[in-house]
Amino acid sequence: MTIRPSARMTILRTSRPLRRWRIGMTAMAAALAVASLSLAGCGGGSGASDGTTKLTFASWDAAEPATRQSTLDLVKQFETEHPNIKVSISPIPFSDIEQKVLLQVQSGSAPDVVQTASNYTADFNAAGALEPLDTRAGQDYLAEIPQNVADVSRVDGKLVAVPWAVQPVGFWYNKKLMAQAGLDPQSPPKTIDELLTDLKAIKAKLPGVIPLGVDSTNRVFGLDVNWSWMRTFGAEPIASSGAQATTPEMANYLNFMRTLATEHYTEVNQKIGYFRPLAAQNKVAFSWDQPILEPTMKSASKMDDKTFQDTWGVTTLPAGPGGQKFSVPQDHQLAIMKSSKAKDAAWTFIQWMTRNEKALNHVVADKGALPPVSKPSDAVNALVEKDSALKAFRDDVAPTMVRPPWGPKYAKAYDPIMVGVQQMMTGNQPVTAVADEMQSKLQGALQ
Amino acid sequence: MVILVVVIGYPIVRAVMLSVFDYSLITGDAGATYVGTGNFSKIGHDPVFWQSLKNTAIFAVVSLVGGGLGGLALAFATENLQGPWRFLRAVLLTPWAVPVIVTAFLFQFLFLDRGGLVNDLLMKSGLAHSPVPWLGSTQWSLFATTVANIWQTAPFFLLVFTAALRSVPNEVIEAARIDRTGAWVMLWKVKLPFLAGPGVIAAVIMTIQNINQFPLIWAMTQGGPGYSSTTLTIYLYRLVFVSYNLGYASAIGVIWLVVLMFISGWFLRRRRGVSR
Amino acid sequence: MTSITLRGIEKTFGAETALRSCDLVISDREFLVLVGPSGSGKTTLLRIISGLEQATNGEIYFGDRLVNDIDVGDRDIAMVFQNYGLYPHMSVYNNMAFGLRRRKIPKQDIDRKVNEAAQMLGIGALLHRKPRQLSGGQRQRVALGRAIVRDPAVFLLDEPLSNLDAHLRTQMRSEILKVHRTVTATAVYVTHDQVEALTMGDRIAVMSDGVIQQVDTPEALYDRPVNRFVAGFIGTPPMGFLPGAVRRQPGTTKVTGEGLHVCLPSDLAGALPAGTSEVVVGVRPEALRLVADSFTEDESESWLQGIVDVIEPLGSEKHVLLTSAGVGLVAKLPRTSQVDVGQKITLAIEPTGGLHVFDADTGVALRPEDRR
Repeated sequence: MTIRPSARMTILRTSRPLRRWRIGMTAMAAALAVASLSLAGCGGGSGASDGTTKLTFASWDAAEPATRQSTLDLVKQFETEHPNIKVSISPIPFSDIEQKVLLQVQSGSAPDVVQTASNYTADFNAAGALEPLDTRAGQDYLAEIPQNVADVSRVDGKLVAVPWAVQPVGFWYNKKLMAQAGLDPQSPPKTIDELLTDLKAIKAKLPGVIPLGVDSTNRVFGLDVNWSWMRTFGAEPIASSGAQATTPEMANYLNFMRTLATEHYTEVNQKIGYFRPLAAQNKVAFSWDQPILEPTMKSASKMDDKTFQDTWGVTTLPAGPGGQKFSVPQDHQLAIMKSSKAKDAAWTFIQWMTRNEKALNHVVADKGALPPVSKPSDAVNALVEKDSALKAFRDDVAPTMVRPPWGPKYAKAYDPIMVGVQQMMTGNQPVTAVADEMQSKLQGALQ
Repeated sequence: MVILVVVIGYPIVRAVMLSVFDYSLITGDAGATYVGTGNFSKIGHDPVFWQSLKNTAIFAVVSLVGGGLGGLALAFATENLQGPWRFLRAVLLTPWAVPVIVTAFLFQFLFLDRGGLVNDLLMKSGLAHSPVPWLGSTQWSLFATTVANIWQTAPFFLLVFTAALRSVPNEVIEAARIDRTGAWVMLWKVKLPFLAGPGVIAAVIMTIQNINQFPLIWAMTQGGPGYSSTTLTIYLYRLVFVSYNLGYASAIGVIWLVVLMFISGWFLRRRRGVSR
Repeated sequence: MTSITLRGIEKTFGAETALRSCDLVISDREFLVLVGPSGSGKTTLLRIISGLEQATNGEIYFGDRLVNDIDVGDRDIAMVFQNYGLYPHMSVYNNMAFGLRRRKIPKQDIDRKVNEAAQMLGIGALLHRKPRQLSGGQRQRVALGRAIVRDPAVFLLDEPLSNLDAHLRTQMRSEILKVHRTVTATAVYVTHDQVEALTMGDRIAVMSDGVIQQVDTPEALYDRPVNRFVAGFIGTPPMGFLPGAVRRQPGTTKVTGEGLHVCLPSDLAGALPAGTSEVVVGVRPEALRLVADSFTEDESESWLQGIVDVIEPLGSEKHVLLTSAGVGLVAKLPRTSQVDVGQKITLAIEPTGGLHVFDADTGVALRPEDRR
């Protein structure tokens, strides 16, 4: 049957705006990035005529509901103590902050101070946007920071940011669910083999519970948290020598991930944020997550401290064949942009944020993280001491932190590696095929 | 007009220029190296590009057919609603007004492995023995995002077809009744031809929207697992905002521009053929 | 043999009454015209006959078959619409063949019927065109063709010529009549144009306010309107109406008013009910003749006087619009008549044929044959 409309109707008249709109759409799509380049960010800091210095501070804490108010209050406190510095906060969500700031850097409108973490810091540094801080910080300041924490903020031995809130990823275990599954709640798995045994028991006894929460999404956080697991199996798919995805160690890791998926020990391609509310409802037995899980669960379930500590424990990631334990730092850092015209004021601000009693209190109490110093004040220390989970993070997990090979190449590796992991978890290709594909994509990306 | 040319033309020109460079957002202009047609020849043997292109085609075509037929069926079903029942049509239009991101979350919940409505129904009705991992498996994720997109876009067709049905002259319908036309023939041979013109325009608009659909897929699967639901927009987004590979992304953007122009041209030619 | 009988047809749309107790008998093969101003209910009545609309009350018979509950597609009717109602996406051929295909008529018969009808209507060369590519007159021919290929028992036409220009309309009138003679169907034709009604109808049903006022031949409607409405609606220029007082004198009955003096012919005088004192006199424009003012001196003559408002020269004659005793009316005078705007003139009234008397309150015509 042929379809023929009757009259020309108004169609003909719509064609021109339609075409224009289409070209607009296409142009937008084609040059998404380029168009964004022209989006100017906020201006850099400058000295005002009345003697006050203005700073802009790009922060995701100020954009996220859980931390927004306390961050604003903290910055207000800083301004009260430093009446000659005005801090203008530019709230940008965590997932956008890297690309926004990079665009601002390219268009010459970067902020003065930026909250950063993980590979973001390395990318900013690669863009030549970060001010080296060794000299400015000085020996005394640096001496207060634990060595492996300070290393997280170094690129090629150079300090490009300073640690603010220390957040290793740890192995959370639900003692009540372990008991229900017939496991000893005081004895979380210490090896991968024990872990698999425990997961099996949990799956069998508690079918409504997700045995293990682990982020397997294709993004920096996904690769970061999986980096610890890869290291546990002895795998390092990106090394200084290039792509190394076809090692037996990598195959072991991939097979392990396939087991997690096929045995329904976890759910594939879910963000860690998907598991958090379920954990709060006691529907996740183990979770590979940051200290932030604690305040998140508490606010979701209204658990008191006692119940929380009776329910949840934190320990290190189970050890693999090599016996070594790994964690990955997700520390929040503060950095000064090279383009800043108010670096002195910026450092004053950063130093205050990372050393002042109120600021460190905020790090522990509001952000649920560890302070960036070995010996915080008694008051701050007491906050950590009374929280068994945070204490475990400090004493057990933090020492196992290993910095992944962050940098521009790492950014290009999220996709090849995590897509391979997902293919492994959802498909039935042989592991060698997945690893070979990953290897060739990695080689292409790392060129 | 000058502003229009600059606003529309500049990004296109810039994209074409970038497409011949190895250009990273991290290193900016300083780190750009000229690679000629290198980016374009890379596209040829980039399996992700081809899979994205295939996914885009499946997503766009299935969404278009599903949304179009769904909207058509709803338009016919609600054509003769009287009095308070007309409210029903307004209800049916709401998915169009729901923000895409809300649709994405809605369907994420519907398709959950555990506690998701779809799996609950499948299990209770005995159609499935274990939950189907709609979003967590390579064979279902594109299907699940397409279903969500159909749900979101069918009301648009309902709107277009309802308006077009109202424009069918009463006399034509009455002439058909006198000609002893049954309900089915009335629908297909008398009313449907009136919907063809608006339908083609709606199809062009929706095809382009489907091809460019980003937030729905991004929020539901981020293009995964693997590349199973990665469409060109998702791939481009990753290239631009995750790998910062602007040069290569621009080359794909240029190819894409050509593809879109081809599709629009095909539709427009069809429409011209239709109205002849 | 399909006569159409309507009994007590009523139609309401919500609170609106569109038709009230319409009775009508249309004989087999008759060409009946329903005429009336817009809103008179003529189209509604046609649609009830077609089955497109259901009557609220009353019965419709085709022959002696009650068709109230018979679907429009099964009533064996064909209809031609004001806006043609052609299927815009189908060729002329398919427009005409569509209804035949729905009735499962063999392909070669369809082909023959369509070609015959197309030949008759002179659209044989247009069969492969789309309606959009045709002129208004051609489209109307296609609509006619679509109706006649079906060889229907009842042929319904709803203002089919009102979208055509005057010249084409005249031409199409005779074509429709020719078609009607060929198809041997009973035809009902709706129009608001009384000229069309008078020239086409075997009989005409005049409608107003949802009521059939009178059904008669064109001549009878013109000569013997049953009430003021019909009298005023039929005939151009329309009849003028002048109120007057009845004065009975020995041997003669007069109706007089300001500028009005009518000696009723004896049959009309005899038709006046006893005791009637006020009536309305109806005067056809062609019954008036310009006379000298001295004409009024003869007591046995009928005349009226008025002031000329407008003169419309029509070539062969002229229409003179005048006001008499505050009422407007028209006189049809020879082209040579000497009148000027603003002039007071005297017009003689031909007492036979052109003169009518109506009840002042009800508007009912007071005529000899109506007196019982």
